[in-house]
Amino acid sequence: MAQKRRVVITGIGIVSPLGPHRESTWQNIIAGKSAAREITQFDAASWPTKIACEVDQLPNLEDALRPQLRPYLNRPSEFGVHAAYEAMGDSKLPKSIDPRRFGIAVGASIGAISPSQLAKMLVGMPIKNGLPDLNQTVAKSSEKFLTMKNHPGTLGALLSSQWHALGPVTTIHTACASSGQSLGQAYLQIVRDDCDIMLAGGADSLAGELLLAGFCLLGALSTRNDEPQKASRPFDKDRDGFVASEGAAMLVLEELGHAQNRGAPIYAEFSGYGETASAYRITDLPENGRGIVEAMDLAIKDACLDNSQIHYINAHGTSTQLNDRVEAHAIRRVFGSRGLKPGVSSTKSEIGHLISAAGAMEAAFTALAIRDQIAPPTLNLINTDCGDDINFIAEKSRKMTIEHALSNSIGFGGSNSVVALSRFRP
Amino acid sequence: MTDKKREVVITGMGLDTALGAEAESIFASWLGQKNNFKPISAFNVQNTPVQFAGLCQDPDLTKLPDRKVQKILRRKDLLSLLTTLKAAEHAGLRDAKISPERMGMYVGASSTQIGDLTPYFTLVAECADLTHGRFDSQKFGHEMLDLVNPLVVLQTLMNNALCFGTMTLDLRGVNANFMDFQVSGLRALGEGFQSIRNDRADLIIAGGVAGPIEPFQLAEGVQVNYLADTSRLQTSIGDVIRPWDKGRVGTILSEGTAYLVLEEKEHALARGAAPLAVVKGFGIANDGQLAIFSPAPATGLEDAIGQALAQANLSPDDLGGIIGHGNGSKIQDWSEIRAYQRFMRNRKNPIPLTTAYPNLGDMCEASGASQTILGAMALKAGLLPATANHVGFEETLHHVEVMTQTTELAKPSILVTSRNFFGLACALVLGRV
Repeated sequence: MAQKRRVVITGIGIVSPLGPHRESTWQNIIAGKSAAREITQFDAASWPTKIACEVDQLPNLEDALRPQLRPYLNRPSEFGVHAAYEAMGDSKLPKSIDPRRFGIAVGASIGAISPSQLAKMLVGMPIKNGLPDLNQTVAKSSEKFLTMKNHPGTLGALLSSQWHALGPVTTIHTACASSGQSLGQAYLQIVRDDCDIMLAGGADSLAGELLLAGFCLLGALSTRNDEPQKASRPFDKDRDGFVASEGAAMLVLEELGHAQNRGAPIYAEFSGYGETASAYRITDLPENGRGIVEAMDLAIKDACLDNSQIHYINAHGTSTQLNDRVEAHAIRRVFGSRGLKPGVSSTKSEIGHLISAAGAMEAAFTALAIRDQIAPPTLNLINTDCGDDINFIAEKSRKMTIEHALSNSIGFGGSNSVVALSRFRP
Repeated sequence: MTDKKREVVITGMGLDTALGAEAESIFASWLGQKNNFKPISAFNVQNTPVQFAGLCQDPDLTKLPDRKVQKILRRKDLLSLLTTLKAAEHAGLRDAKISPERMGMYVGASSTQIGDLTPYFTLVAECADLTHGRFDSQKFGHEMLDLVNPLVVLQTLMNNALCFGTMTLDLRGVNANFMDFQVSGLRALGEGFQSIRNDRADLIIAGGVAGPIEPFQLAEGVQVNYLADTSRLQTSIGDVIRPWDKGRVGTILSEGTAYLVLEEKEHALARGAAPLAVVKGFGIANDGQLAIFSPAPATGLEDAIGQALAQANLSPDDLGGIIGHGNGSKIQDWSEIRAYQRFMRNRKNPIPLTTAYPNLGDMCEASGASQTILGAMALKAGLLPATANHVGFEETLHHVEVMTQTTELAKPSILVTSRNFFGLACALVLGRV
């Protein structure tokens, strides 16, 4: 048996509604601050949902992206570029790395086209069979590269060009599981010796009108408009939907020997990964937690652990009725048989739901929790209907030993990904 | 992790293209240099550069296992689901007893297009005041609940092909939805190969689905000089895509979808499935620069080929030919040829190079999977069909010969390649059973 190549996290970059950098965001998470507020990007006074978590501080792009690449940026990609810049700086990768052993994996954004961009092309345009006249489309496409800049594959291409990563570039969109899967893909590519370094993560923005409208129509968003900071309440019995959010998290994953040879800082070991499909319904989950259970089992097994060794779970916990109930049941099925149960929290209570970027953001928080040996809280978890036998970390952060942890992601469409992270032991 | 890697074979195939939906007949059309581009009629293209596209037949909705999916799935996702089912049927999965957790699916999918947002169009247009540069969000919020289809988010999910494929066939194992433009389908196949090889699954359905032919995408394709001008045809529409030819003028977009069933060899044999071809190696790498606007070096393609051949334990001399990306675009074709010339420089004879793009059109995310199916057919037939419309490259070719006649395959392995316009390349080695 060949020994499995070990993968460690050597850099983390975050842009979030709780701060433009990793540490500012993390300190606010630990302090239990909520980013939810009235929407400021547009006038949402007449909308069923008037609240979201919005990014309002961004560093300038000066060093993060070459000027010739900037025309292809949309809002989520801009977040991703900044997060990548911070992660790459954090990892202190030398210029001497082999670019062919360096790849990119991104959980792709749903897209961020705004109604005003759309309107510019539509107003006065004759419609035939529900589609605009191409004549007018060509003439009116005044915003160059609108399609390309809103394509999920563009961010990975920009990052590979900016950072001269000549290895594999992978863009994944599996809704809310996208960047959990992109991290998993990056991990697998290092394990199977395709690469030594992967810049991986996700970026998204759900705070724009069209997407927000879509989720409003679906009834998935909280309408607790009068109390924005109490709106995201995963696992609480009064939860009424998720709070839309935006931002990006990028992580530098590196083969252990490669990292050690250059004396790289190590946040945590990426010790295992599990990926399944629920194969059930497009938005619903099977009540027995099928798919999520197996993904957790696979990640634990891949990390060569048993479930008694998991101290903390950063749950997907969206604050929607079905997701939280089923995820709690899945956790119970995996861990319920033992006395010492892992602490469980959902950081969506602070930062909202970043959709394609959620998995990477939450894996980054999990790595920081391992670094600081502190588990972030689930805000607004006052009375749970998800079972008293789950060891929820409610309201306040908890100082605790975290040797091994899981970060769960569950996507619309049935894709599940679970990342196992461990305190680094040489 | 095992030291000895598992072997991967193809046990089923399904595709739907402008040339039809049967692999045998499509391969015969390639051999016969046929094509089937049609005038675009779904929207007005009068006086515009893009007049033609490759269009599939309407999906046969009677074959859907659940007709209710029509409420959510758009045309491309319906085509994808039906093709997925066809590939599964071809592999004999209906009666197979396989653990669902050991079966997975990888899809290369197109992005949500602006044209997919049509449920919003009327309301958006009503809320816009372009004279004063304003958008009335209040009115939009007030009226959307009445005027916009509440299923719009589900209809535009970019992972619908994956979602409905896994649900319908109860595939509960590894899965992903790749979105890297034109390479996505071959990327999906490569990941399927790697997952089986590394014992993460026993069976994977992998392939791709191209986006719809819609006006905004065409408009941008024209803007960036990617698409051929088909408004002033000197000859027939079938002559437009001219891969690696000095007279090439761009490509024609096509709808389509293609899936293959990949399976661990012993697993396939144990259930009595007949392997159609062997997947031997896969590689992926990129140029690190945007290849659409300037001639990228195509080092990514060269690296991807190197990885795929190394994994297959083959040398360039062991290849019978390449089924290349050649979509007739000015810049990409040029750099693609350069990569082959560099990589094949030590071959004893020039490598035969061909492509089915002039026949199928540019199927974007489905191109890699459809060309892989045709590669398997070529291996079975022992024939490498010619590249239509190729007369000669602008420079003298070394170590590469673009096939202008159908030839016999001299070796039992074929390389299939795919590139996107950001310089990402994939290469997959297929072998005869």
